[in-house]
Amino acid sequence: MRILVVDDHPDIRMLLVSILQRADYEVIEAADGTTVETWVADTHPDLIILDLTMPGMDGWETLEQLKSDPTSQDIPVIISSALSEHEDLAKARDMGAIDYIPKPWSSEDLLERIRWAITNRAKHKKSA
Amino acid sequence: MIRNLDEADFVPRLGLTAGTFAMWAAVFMSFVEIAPVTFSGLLAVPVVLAAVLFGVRGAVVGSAIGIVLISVLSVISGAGSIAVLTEGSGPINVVVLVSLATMVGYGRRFSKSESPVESGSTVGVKTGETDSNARRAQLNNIAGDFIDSVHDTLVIEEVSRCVTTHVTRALKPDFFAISVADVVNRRIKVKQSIGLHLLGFGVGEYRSVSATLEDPMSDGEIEVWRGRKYSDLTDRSLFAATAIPAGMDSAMTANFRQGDDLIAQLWIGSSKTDSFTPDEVEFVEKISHHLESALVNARNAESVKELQRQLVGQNEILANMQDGIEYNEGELRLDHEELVELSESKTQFMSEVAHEIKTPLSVMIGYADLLRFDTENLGNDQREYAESIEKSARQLAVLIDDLSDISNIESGHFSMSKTEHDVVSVVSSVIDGLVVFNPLNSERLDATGVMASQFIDGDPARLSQVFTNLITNALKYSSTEHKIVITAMATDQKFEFSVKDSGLGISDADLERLFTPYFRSSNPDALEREGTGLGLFLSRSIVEAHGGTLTVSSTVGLGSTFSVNLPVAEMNLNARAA
Repeated sequence: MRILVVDDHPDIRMLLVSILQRADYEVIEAADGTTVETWVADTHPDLIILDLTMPGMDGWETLEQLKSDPTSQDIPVIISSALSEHEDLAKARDMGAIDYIPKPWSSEDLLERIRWAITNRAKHKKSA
Repeated sequence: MIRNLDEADFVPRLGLTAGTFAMWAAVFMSFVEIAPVTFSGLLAVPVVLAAVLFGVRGAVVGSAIGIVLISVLSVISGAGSIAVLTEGSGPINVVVLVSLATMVGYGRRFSKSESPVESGSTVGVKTGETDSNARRAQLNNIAGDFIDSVHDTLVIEEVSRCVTTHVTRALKPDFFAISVADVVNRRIKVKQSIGLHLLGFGVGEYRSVSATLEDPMSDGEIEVWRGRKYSDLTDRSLFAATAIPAGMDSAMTANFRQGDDLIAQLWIGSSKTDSFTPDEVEFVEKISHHLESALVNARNAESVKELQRQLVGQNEILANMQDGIEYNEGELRLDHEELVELSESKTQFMSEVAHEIKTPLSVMIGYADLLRFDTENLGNDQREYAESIEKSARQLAVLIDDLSDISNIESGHFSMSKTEHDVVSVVSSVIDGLVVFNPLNSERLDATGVMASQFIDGDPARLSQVFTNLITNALKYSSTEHKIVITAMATDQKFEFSVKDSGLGISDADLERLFTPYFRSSNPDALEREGTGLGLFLSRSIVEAHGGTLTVSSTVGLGSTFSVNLPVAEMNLNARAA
């Protein structure tokens, strides 16, 4: 399983890499939304963990781009953001994110939700 | 009456003009006749002048002198007096002179009898029965004219001008003044005056009130002085102050009052001792009577005008005040807008700060988490340290979320995403979460009073926050051996959730402020427990945003019960009704 991590904070990326590699996921990192399209085309990730607040192309634009492109729209996207307003959660769901984990999350919680997202991606795709 | 004045002027002028014409005619005739007659022609000058100045008598005397002079001059010139009188143009000259002089004299007399008033000299001069009647008629005319004119005006200035014109015409006084009390400041102000300018009677000057108050005269009565000397005066106030220094030897004054206030004063003075006939005094009495009513009317009218002016002024003041109030309202509105803006920027700032703090907290929690489960490399102690780090970081994250929520509530941006959901399952998952986190809790929490299910319209995440807060509070503020009783049940149209503990309890003073932000009890036992003072405020805000209530009852030492009441979903009600 290959996961693309998109976050502008190197510390967060490093942490995610540590957690995910321990759980035997293959991890690809991107620092903002501009390279996401290329990474998706090149590496075909099974899941994307996406931060919202980033310089350059932010998470909202990236999510919109991913969900409007037929080659990437079926890849489940988990939003991982320090934004925890209810509007943000609802907006992300409406835009096609499969889950929204507000920061700070615990590694257990994160891993559980990743597993759930991968298991349910087909169902989510159908319902979406 | 102006016509009368012109007529009076016109007749003597006619006499003068006729006399002058006769004189030059005689001179001309003398030049075209023989030499001696020239003298008689020249002698026409004194004859005509005598006729003009002294009337009929002057004409007769002038003619006689002329004849005598011509005769004497004729004898001296050698022509012989008889010859001069009987020959040549001499007799013609004499006839012309006599007839012209008589004509001029009659002209003078005519003008006198028709219009005896032609200078101040007539005042008080007895001119016989005919003159006296004519004078009385004239005074009556002027008085009648005054009454007509003065009743047409309601302006003090015009009343003053009117009385001045008519008194001047009738009496030709050497001194005159009409003073009227100012409507606004009640001081006596000179409106019109003649010959008194140097004695405080200049037009527009205020008279000394004390001088007028000492005046013993009663209302409207005319006081007449004739030829009084300063040494003769018993009351030295008014006459002494005004008449003597002015050089008056006769004077008439009248005071006019409205209630106790002196409203006007009239002065008519003469520099002659024996001025003012009874007719003239009667004239002044007559006009005074009408002057008084005209002044009262004019003053009333001006008082009304003054009141109107004041009203207009006050209206303007009110309008200005209104403007001021509106301006202040505008300012307040601006202040309010600024405050709203400030509050919004504070909210914005809070949410940015929360975001910035939560990112490094995520890293801390994440790594602490990794360390906590790293059984390969770390001993139990180290993993416990990591657990403490994670726990503290989580508390910090919760605090930041709470602060951010409060900031949103204060600025009115607190958001909810309500859906119809089973609120009991939310309660259950909160209890499950607390038990999983700390197995000890399973013994302390008595959830037997939690019913099967209840649908309500609400935000499950927010309600979960409320239930967690109330249950953890109960755990926090009571000792481990005490049970916490949790109930969740539906009554008619309400869902009720309650948490009952047997802990510290809350004093009445603390109860009053329990739901205010940042409030913490002063009870030292309660202060030992960690807390931010935000939980209950947030919980009540959330419950109220659902249209519900959060209440508390408590007894110190015995424990507290917190109750949440929420309206049930419409669907439920419909189902029940059906």
